[in-house]
Amino acid sequence: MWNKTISGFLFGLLAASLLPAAIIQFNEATTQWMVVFFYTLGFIMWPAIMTYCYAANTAKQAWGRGVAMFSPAAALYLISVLWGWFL
Amino acid sequence: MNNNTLKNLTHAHSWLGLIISGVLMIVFVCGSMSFYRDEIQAWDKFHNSNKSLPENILPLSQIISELKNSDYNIPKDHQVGIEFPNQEWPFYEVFFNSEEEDGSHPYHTLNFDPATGEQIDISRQQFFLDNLFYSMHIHLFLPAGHEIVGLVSLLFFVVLLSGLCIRLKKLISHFYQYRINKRKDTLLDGHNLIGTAALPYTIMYALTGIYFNLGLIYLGAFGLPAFHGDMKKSDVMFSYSEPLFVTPNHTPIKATRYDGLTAALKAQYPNHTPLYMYIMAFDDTAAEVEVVMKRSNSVSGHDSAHFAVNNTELIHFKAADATPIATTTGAFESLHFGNFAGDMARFVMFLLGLACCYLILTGNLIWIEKQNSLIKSSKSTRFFKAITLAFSTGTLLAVANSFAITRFINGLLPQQDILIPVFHMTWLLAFCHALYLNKPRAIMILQLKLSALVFAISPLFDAFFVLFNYETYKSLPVQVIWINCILLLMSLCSFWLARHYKYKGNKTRAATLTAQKTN
Repeated sequence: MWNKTISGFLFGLLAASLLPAAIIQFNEATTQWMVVFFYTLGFIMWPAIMTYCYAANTAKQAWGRGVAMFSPAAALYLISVLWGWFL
Repeated sequence: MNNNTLKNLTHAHSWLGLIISGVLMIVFVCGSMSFYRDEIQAWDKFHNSNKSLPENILPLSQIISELKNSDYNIPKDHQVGIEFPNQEWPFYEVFFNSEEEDGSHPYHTLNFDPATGEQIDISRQQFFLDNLFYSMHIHLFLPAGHEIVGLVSLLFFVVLLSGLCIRLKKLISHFYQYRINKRKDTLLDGHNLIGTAALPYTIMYALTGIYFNLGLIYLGAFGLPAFHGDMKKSDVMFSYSEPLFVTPNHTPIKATRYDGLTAALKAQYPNHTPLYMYIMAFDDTAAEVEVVMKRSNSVSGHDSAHFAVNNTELIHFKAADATPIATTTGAFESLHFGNFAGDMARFVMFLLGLACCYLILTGNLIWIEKQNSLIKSSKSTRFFKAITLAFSTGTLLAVANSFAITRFINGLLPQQDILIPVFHMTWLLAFCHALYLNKPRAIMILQLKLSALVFAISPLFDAFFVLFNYETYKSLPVQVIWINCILLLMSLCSFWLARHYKYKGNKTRAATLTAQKTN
């Protein structure tokens, strides 16, 4: 259970902060409303990812699920940073 | 959702629920009490008149002079915050960071008597009972309490989501199911019924709880990648108002200029009540202030006005909904505090708060029943029986003790120094008592009887005085009567519960003896 908790907490926080951060990067005219909307959305994503990790059968699967949630968010964030540099 | 997933979620639901049940119980009990903060404070003030706001309040210049004459070195690029005295907070509060010789910037909070201007110790003179419940609800008066409560809110959200997934298929079809044949089924159906009915409310509380208590931690994690480490941009995006930047003239300002500012505020904003102000370069002719004000008859956030102190010139005015973060926080606060639809909404929120306490208790009891059916007695079952008892009747007794202390020994001892340890010690003793004796029912009955007695002390004492000293008490504020009635009601409820469980226990024992004789 501790593995599920740590993986869900850690990767949940990372994914819930990187994904909204990446979406904001793609929009040049980022408004304060958008930032606050995605900031608030993160508070729902975080426990949702934790619940997904708790639903795993084994500790290994829970870590896998955490990585699976984090990787696309990290990749999207990386693309958004590169996008910003090239523009 | 397959069976394995449901099994894992059920396991996580009960495991997390048990871990957070203690803190969550205190948070919900004290939070529910906090819906009636004003009434509790009025009751407190009636019995302790030293806590009321004096008729003549010293002008702001006196407090500024006190600050100028103090030994603190406040740099000109640092803000000084001043909270104005009001009925809920009857003293001036000044907060700032000073600069020390070693380069450190310690934070200070000073409190001044609004009648004499003397520095006061609020823990002794101005600590209200409602402050105890409200602060206990926010941070439990523990180190890193904000983070602990925030973390518990996060896990509470996970518990709610896992509970929702477990019940999803039967959410509507089994909503009215309530079996009374087996104790475990009755507890489970009650848990499901209240959990489903109160779901929007509980989700709102979990979300706003994380928002208020873990907001800063999440802001760091979100702001860093979102603004590529440019935290100044993050500050602008998440600021409630424009930051003050002042170039000092290095000429000291007369303290009386601040009185001119308060007069200008009254004249320009007659429908606003100033709550607090932030001053930049407070002892300089270039000083600027941002005054945060509450509009009369408004539940939205606070408006703010930016002034130059020397010539009381208004630089700009900002309405409550000027920034998205202020609007969002304002909306969340209204939902969380239940102040969006009058007294009825507040009462409904109070009942729903108590319903959450029921959810926590039944959750723990279901687990205990399950353990009882598996093994006769284990250490973990004994521990959780004790903790469930400590956070149900123990918390009830802690609340009763807080009321009794405020009523009878206020002024004799520093309120903050006695109320907080007594609150925590009460539930801790209730826990040790239950763990040591391992007779949950007998201990519960004893603690309920004790709660009934402590709850009844204040209203009975007041009733005695009303009977024999009517002149003094004929102008009782309505809030005092209400709180006394509620205390009496709590006392009767505790007594009835004690009687009910005693009768039920006797009945079960008699049935067991008859069964043994028949065999």
